[in-house]
Amino acid sequence: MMRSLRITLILTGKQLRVLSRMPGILLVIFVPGIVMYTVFTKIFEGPAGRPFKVAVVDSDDSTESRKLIEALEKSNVNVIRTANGNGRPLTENDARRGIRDNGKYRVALVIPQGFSRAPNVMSGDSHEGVQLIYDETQSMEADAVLGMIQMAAGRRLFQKFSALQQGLSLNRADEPSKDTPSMLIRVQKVGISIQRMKIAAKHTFLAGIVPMFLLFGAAGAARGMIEEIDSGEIARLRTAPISPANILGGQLLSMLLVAMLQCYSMYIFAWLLFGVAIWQITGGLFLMTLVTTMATTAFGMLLGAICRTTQQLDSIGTIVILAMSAIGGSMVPRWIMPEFMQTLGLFTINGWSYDGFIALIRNEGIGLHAWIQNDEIRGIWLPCVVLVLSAVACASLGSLLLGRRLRAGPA
Amino acid sequence: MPLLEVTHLQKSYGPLKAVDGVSFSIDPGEIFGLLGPNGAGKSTTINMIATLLKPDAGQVVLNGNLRSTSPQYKRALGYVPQNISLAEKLTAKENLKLIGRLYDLNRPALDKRVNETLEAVGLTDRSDDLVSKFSGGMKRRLNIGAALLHEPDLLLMDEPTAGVDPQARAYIFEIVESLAQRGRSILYTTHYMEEAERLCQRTAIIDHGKILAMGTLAELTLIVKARHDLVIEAQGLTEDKLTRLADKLDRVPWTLHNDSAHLHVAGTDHTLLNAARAADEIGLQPTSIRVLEPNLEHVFLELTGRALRD
Repeated sequence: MMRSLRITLILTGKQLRVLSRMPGILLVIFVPGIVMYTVFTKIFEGPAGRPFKVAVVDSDDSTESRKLIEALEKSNVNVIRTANGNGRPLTENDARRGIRDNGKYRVALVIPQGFSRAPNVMSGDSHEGVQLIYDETQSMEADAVLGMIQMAAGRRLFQKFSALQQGLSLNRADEPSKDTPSMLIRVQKVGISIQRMKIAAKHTFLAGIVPMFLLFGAAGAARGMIEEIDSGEIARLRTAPISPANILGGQLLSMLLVAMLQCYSMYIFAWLLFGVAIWQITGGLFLMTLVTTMATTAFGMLLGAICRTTQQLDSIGTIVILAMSAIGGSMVPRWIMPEFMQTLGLFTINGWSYDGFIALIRNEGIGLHAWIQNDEIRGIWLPCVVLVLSAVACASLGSLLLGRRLRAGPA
Repeated sequence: MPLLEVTHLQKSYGPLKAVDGVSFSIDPGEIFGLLGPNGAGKSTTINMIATLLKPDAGQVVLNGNLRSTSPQYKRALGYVPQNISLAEKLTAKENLKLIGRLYDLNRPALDKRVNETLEAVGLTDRSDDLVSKFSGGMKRRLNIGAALLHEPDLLLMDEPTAGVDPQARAYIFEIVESLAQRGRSILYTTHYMEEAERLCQRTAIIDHGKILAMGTLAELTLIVKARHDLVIEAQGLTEDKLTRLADKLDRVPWTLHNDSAHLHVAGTDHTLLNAARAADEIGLQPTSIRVLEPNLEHVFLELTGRALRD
């Protein structure tokens, strides 16, 4: 047993040393994923400050409420006041539905009836304030709107004060006073936890691109395996006093370690450049990474076992991986896809990996320590189980086919 | 007691019998050749002995009692595959160390064996170079070294000179001869009769999966002693003249290449005299007539009716 483990580690070390001397391959393994992730995230994230939709429910319909809305319109947001452009004012239900069901709006501002009677905190206890309803995953945008509201209130207050001063023949600067209270309008923030929410580009593409590039990496490793079979390297190993399991184990373990390294290089990049909160989910992230790399590594081995030549692998592998990636959410976020495509995506490693990562990022999955303590692994347990089963199935079938090929004799 | 005993080995691929009842034995310290054209069954036989292929029937016994399923069997074998089966991105030394560790060699014995092996194959000064930077011949030598590292009882060499230049081939011959001097037992497959003649104490001629003849060079050439290749060189040698000459020598088969003709004649004491007389009768004035000593090529031709390279 110990000897078997030692031999497997020797062969793993050999594979890693060989890989370390192939800078071109290393570049292909590590760089394109990061580049693709950056490009997609930047495209879908959009330029900073691009206007976003804010639904406004004006139940007060007063000068004060209209002034507030006008101020918002002058800020960098698209204010939507009517439902479907039919002229009917939005209701709170419309706004909630727009956020919850289809991500039509990111934030909704609800101005209650009677707002004008006490439009700010200066009005005393009768000030009711406004309500800000938002998608919980988009809290930054809600905070931006909150800032805009306070700014607008400040300006409004300053205008009133200014008019009063002019009446008293005083001449003051055009800017709001530094003494203006930081919260002029009381805002009640209401976050909506929704099932089918829009997910930030930096998360959705990390979840999608990781499995895609893991699969490409695994296909590259499978290519190396075919080359070793063709060159007779494997045949020589088979004449040594070691078992086929050692040879296969060495291959798989080295592939797995490289894949894990590939993932973590992308996570760290995502953290550094886009601030993806990887350190808050370390346990769950490790678990998801492990099961995803197991599944992709085993799938790579299966590809290597099915394809008899490197040419076959290059063409079949690329087509299969691209198809899996397209269906499984690596290119287009799964939440955008129609129901049928989302179901189809569950037949791919990418789809389950995507769902697991997203669940994790949405904090449905939790750190391993908490999992052990709370006996709970909501959100990522099903993807984990499915990915492990996929790994076992692919590895079993792959080793069966490889064994058959090797028993047929050296190339 | 023979070192290796192969009995009635069989292997089929569908309807094709690649190896059909092959039996032979190798004595300790002997270099035994398997000579045959491509597709004769040499590699299939050696791969079955090396445990890379499972025989359909027959058995292989090493050192009197080791079967291929025995854990000690693989340790007693060293396999030199036809392809260069080395990690190109590892150095010569790293490749050998890797193989050594798989045979449970540890430091300092491993370092000692690695250095000895590199010296034996003449690669000491290139030990830290990547294999990818080696010439074809150097790779071949290291390929042999990798099989020698653990000092096996029997070395299996599957066409070790395939695709190498004459200089590299000569170097490989020297390595094999040096191993022979040190009493190493080798099973050597080749389709070059010169290699079998030069290196092997005994040779089995194999074709279509069957051993046709087996013995020392002297024993094998006895098979064709009755016939010789007669080489006649003459200016103005034409097919017409050669046909007439062959007719006078009992219509023997012939081949013509420029001014040199090969006639496959019955070997008698008067072969040369008869040929000279016949040439004179048809007005041919040879510049030389000589009888070629029979070799394994002739033996193969005699046994199969075709040349080794066909």
